[in-house]
Amino acid sequence: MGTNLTPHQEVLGVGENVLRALNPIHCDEDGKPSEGCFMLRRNDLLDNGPSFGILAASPEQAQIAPLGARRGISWEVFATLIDRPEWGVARLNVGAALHELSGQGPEFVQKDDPDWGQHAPAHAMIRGHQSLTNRGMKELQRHLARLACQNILKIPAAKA
Amino acid sequence: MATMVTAIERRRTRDKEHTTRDDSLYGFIYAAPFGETVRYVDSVPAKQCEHSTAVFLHRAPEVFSVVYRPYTRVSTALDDLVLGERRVPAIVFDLRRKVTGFARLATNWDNDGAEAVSRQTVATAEQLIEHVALVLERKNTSTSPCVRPFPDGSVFFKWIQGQKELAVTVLGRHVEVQRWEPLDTFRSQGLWQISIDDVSEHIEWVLT
Repeated sequence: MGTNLTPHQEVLGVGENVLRALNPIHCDEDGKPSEGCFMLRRNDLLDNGPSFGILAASPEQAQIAPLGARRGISWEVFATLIDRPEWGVARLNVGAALHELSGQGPEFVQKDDPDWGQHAPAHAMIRGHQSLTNRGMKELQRHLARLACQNILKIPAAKA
Repeated sequence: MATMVTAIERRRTRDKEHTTRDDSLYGFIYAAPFGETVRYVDSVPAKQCEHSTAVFLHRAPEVFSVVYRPYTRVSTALDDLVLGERRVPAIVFDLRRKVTGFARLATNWDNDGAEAVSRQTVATAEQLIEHVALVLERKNTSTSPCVRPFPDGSVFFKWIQGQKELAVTVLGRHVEVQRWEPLDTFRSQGLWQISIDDVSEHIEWVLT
């Protein structure tokens, strides 16, 4: 379930799914993302971490993915919003992504992105990773890349 | 449409690689275009294979590492020894070429705000490759790490062998090592900031 922060920001619950754009330059020849697709930096601003889209959930899934049901978008729409035809798209379950770090800081939070127009509320970002140790941050990067490898919805184009 | 064509080409290439894998009459060409990981290009008659050469493909110069694998079905320990010795220079050559190429990456090289890879980072990474070469020769093995630049301007080496994974990040003069075993675990065994001269013991770990 989401937790209210401000009227326009909610923390994504474990049942939500997010979408991540995959820069082909940071993927291998098979289109599988490396840790470079999930670069986390200690100096990321608290309110400006790596971007994600909130994947649409059906009304029947509203109990476990309320944000996805209300504000989510399909991966096809997400792909048009990032406006990089050669980039891929991967899906990540929030619970699987953060299971090992529960209560330690990192979380996915909804944050409107005005550049997304009518889909602005479908934008999310990761935050709280700044409080992890260097070791923990790299463990999370690796974990996110491994999860993304298992759920690629659109394969990045081969590098030129 | 372009994506579909690429996918079909990739499948054809994989099929050919698969069908010639155990054929003693074939060798394999692996290409490593600038800044990319090594990829299989083609299978060629073994007599055309050389250890490492520069050839032209699609009218553009690319450097190729040619790996010749004769008689894989009846290989002996002596064959393995000889082949291992032949491959190590090719692996090291390939790593050096890639890392040297990273020096040419200007700010925003990934079209997403990446930082340039500094000369110091490249120099440290080249030192690391010397240690890789020594360990490979000592252990007479021909496995190779993948190497890639990261958006923060670091150079990242990743080595997976069995259930072990070694990640080495180079940024400036700093070298960080992180190890996982088994692969599906979230927590690493640790992260160490080390001197470049201490990297060999970690490479030994992943190869043992």
